[in-house]
Amino acid sequence: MTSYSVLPAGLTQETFGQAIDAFRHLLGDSQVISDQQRLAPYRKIMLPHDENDHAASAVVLPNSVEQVQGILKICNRFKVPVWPISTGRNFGYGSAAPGERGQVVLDLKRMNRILEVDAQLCTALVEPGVTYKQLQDYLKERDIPLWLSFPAPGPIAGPVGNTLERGEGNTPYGDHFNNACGMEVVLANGEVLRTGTGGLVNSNSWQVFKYGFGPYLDGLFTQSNFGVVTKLGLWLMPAPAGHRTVLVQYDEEQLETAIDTLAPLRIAGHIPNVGVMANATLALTSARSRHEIYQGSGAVPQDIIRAEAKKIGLADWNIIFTLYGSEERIAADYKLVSQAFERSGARVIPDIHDPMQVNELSLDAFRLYNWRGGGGSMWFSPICPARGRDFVEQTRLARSIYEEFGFDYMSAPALSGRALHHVMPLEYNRTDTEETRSAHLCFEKLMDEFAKRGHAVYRTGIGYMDKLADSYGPVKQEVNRAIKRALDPNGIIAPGKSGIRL
Amino acid sequence: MSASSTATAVIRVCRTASRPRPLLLPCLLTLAVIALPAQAQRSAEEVWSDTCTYCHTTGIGPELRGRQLPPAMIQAFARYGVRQMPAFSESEISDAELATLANWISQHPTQANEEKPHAAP
Ligand SMILES: Cc1cc2nc3c(=O)[nH]c(=O)nc-3n(C[C@H](O)[C@H](O)[C@H](O)COP(=O)(O)OP(=O)(O)OC[C@H]3O[C@@H](n4cnc5c(N)ncnc54)[C@H](O)[C@@H]3O)c2cc1C
Repeated sequence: MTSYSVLPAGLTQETFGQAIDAFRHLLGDSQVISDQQRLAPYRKIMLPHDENDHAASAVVLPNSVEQVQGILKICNRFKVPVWPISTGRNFGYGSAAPGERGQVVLDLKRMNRILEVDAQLCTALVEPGVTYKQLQDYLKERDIPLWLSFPAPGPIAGPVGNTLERGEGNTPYGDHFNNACGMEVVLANGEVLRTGTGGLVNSNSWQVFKYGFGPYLDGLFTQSNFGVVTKLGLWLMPAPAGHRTVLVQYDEEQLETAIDTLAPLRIAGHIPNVGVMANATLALTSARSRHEIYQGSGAVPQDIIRAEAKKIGLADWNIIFTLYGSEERIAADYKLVSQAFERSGARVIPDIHDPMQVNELSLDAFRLYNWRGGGGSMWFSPICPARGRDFVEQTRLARSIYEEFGFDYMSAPALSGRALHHVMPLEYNRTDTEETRSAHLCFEKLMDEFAKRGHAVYRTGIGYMDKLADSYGPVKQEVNRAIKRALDPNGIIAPGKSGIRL
Repeated sequence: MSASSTATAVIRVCRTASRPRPLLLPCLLTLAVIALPAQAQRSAEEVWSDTCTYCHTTGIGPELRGRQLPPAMIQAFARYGVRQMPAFSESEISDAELATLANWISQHPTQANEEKPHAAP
């Protein structure tokens, strides 16, 4: 009898072996992975946890909705927990590894069909394995003038996984969940739910009208473990006639003014996209590695960062956004926004290039990983009201905690609107045990100190989900649990995801 | 985010928007069942341009071509990921594709920019 070195919690070798046999029978031998060498790619994480705590017991690779239904049936029968992934590129939050040791990864990458593109109403319907590159190639090959909004790892990540995590891109469609319309979800009992108007036989409005009739359910299937999403509708942006990307720079002392100037322009729509803001350290990662500018220990001193940034035209804070449309429209918008920024004391530099804001796929953001080297990276992702004094408070608090543990404070807020997604990478050398431990302690302290002051965190990685869910209070957790019990009484779908379990 | 990228043309007219709009009818509700990588094997060049090129021709990761790197090493790096490099599972790059890719990289002639320093360790 085969002996499995990693088992789901509470399962015997024998029961797990029976489940694996059933998976093989359903999917074919090659679509069920259980030997350690083939499982290795699913173990690689960038978080400061022991990989063994997130080791999958197996991976199953369905290629149809029916196979997903069949998998969940087997899971219920043998009480096997599964962790669904779409493209599995959740870098800095857990990559493709499951939340808990022994969970079976339900890898949906083979379900990668672009099912529909409606060029007139600018929508698409895709399966979970579709990558942004695949969808973009599809549109380009057919000359369909639609743009995508994607996260920085766009070429290798996909719209379903990203949207389900409520991720962000940098075009006017950058709030991805807000631009999703209609889901197909396989529930734990094997039934298939279509949200919005999708329940109607032959519905002709599934990708154009979100709400349908009765409760709007889609949010329940984001950042949750209430179902496995097998199709997602997307709204795509008509390609604009033109675009102009603008860089606005402020010094540290002007930070409060910067946000208070930016926010009204963004809320009123004069800045139409989810632009980004980068502090000098983060912006420097696009051109330098840490050891090129500093060989000491601890955080790189601010005066060195400032001087190095200045050499390549970067300021303490760099705001990048884009204006879209006809030449006349861009000229009018540019006049309005540039005057507002200049009046507040900023330096405005037009005509720079940021691929993500203009539908160009790149992995430029991965230069971040070369800053420290060693493969350790995680995202601390609080939400900040788009008010100068709040942002200054968050940056001071975050910087003091990063530096207490010897890390470089990097900040890359997304200009979401009334709020900023104040995402901060924590870069560390994962091959250094002591540094890895410090990164973990630093991250926990960030979570504690931010929660204490009412700063909500919008998303977190495996190993930190229970802690984050706690900060949202017991009532929310109890409601989540009640829904989980109702929809998934055996707790087979991603137990622990977002702190939700039976 | 690439704040330090050099400035590009002022207001660029988008390629697609500047062309006459294609007839809407053919692409309305296009039922497009795209070939599945798991079933249709891609060539080494396709895998290279779908995935590797984003880091290994831009200075984010080291240039791999023209160095006669052992194919087994290339396969191991891609499959398991090393340090900051992500791992690419077989659902994304199949064993057959990876083997072809590794040979292609290994035998690829020297690049013109080979003497450039590698950005990543
Ligand atoms: C340098 C860098 C920059 C980044 N920039 C951004 C950015 O700009 N914006 C951003 O949002 N993120 C960013 N990220 C984080 C992350 O890499 C992306 O969010 C990425 O899109 C997530 O991976 P994915 O799309 O492959 O999702 P997946 O890994 O497939 O899914 C993520 C999670 O969603 C759940 N899930 C996935 N599919 C399903 C399903 N079908 N049914 C039920 N649950 C499911 C699972 O819990 C899964 O773990 C960045 C990461 C790095 C390293």
